[in-house]
Amino acid sequence: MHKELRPVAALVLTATGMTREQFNAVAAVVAEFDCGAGIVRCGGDSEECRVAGHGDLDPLMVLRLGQLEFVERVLPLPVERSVPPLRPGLRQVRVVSVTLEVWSALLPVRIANEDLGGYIEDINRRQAAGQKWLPLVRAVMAVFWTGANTIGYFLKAVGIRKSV
Amino acid sequence: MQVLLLFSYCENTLGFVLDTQTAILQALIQGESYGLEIIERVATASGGRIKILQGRVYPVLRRLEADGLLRSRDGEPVPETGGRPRRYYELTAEGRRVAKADSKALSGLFGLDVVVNRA
Repeated sequence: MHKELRPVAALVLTATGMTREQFNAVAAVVAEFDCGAGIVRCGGDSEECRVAGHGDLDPLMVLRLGQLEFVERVLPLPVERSVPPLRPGLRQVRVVSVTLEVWSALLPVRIANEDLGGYIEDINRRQAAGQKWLPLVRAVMAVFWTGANTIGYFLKAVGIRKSV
Repeated sequence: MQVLLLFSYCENTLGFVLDTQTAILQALIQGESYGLEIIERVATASGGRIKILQGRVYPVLRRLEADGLLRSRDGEPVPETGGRPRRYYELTAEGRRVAKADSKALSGLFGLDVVVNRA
């Protein structure tokens, strides 16, 4: 029976274990959605379902991105998250981390280790304490102060300034 | 220029200007330490009334080292700093003498022990 179905119908049936009648009801409700890999169109009849552009779709992705609310109501789907949800603020953590790593490559070794290392330690503590925005502010201050201290460092090196 | 000069001083609510150098020397009387811990020592010992700007503490530490009041060594890389080594500072004999003289002067000036930490 599955062999007679078009790709979307076969994938959905395999992933959910729903009956053909339930799928027909879903297909009637969902007319069109973007799964990220192409436009999936489902007509009123499941036999007319087809995937434009890509025939090889991840069925779980189709279900998640298709927003098949009708299915979720009628039939609790055995869809498990393969990736744990991102911790709030994780994106900021990554942005700060990458930015400071790139910035440290431009600084003298001592300032990169000592000054920037101190700021990174402070930022890590704040993030561990659950602060969301102060670590970002500290990162901006780190760039400012390490930049200023680097200028002083070079001025001293060339003898223009007596102390760092 | 005035703005830059202001950064040389600790932010405090004690009603007088205490420069960063004095605060660092007093904090290091306790023993060797690194930048962030020095800031915390000063804040803790003063009940949070004296705060050293983190951006200012490192240049002052390097200047005090160049002046012969401190010596420093690289510690082991630690994950907290992103795998960078901490730099530890301690007072030299001259630094200890200056720190104790500062401590005595401040105590005499204010008639009470307002110094961050006494040995």
